[in-house]
Amino acid sequence: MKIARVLPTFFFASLASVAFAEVQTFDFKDPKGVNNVTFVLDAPLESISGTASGISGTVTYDPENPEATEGKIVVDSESLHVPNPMMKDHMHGEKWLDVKKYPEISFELKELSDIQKTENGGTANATGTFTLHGVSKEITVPVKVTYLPGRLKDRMPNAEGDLLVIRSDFTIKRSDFDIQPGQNEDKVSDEIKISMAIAGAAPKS
Amino acid sequence: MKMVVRAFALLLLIGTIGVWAACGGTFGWTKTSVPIREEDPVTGIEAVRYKTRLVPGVEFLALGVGGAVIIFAATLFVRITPKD
Repeated sequence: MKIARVLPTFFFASLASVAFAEVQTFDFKDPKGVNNVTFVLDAPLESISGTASGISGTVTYDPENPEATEGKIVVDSESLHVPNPMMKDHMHGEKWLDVKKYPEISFELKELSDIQKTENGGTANATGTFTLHGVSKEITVPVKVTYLPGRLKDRMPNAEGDLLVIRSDFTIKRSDFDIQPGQNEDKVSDEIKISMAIAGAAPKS
Repeated sequence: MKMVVRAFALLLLIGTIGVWAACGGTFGWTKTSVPIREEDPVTGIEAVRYKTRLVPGVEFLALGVGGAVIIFAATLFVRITPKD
């Protein structure tokens, strides 16, 4: 009699735990240092390209319910690198990014729309708050998400867990973020093409 | 004396172009690091790492070639007489 009463409770509790187990938090601070964001400013007189590698942040993702995805990706402004040292100094300086005053560039996801599911992830439009140079602006960018269940051990042999790869290519205008608007546009393009490819890990304990 | 200075200008010109070309010179600005791209086999992400290397740019070329031209031009207008 007691067993008959306990069994359904156990069954539903197990079911609920399985359902909730699908929601995972992926940490994007990559110990392998592979994650990167590249940027290109193609002005009539000069083309500037570089990368940022200081990426952190978390994304909560459920492969069965991608609509509920939440998260924030942060880029350390100091990690922005261009191959010319003088150009890098100028880029980090007060006139341009002012990395001492604004040490972070971030994107905080508000919602995913137009979700197209595929076998191991999908594509969507991500709307969120992009913060650069202390200015926050709502933008919508296309994202491609690839969910790699059980693949964490392929990157870190002693760890069990899943990987989530996010890719996105989008363009912003520096003038929208109060970075020398209307200045030097022949050499430093107003449009900044950003290409992001990052992988997050959700270790299983 | 003029010939010596002109030979030096020629050497500077050849040396500048030679060093610029040998170091993989670029028509952009001088670079002190070059990107090395490597694909992560698990995630497929192309990692970009920077290797320290000098790639002389247009300012290096302009300085060397400009210097050689100025030195050569100086021999046309400045009178150089050896001291006794």
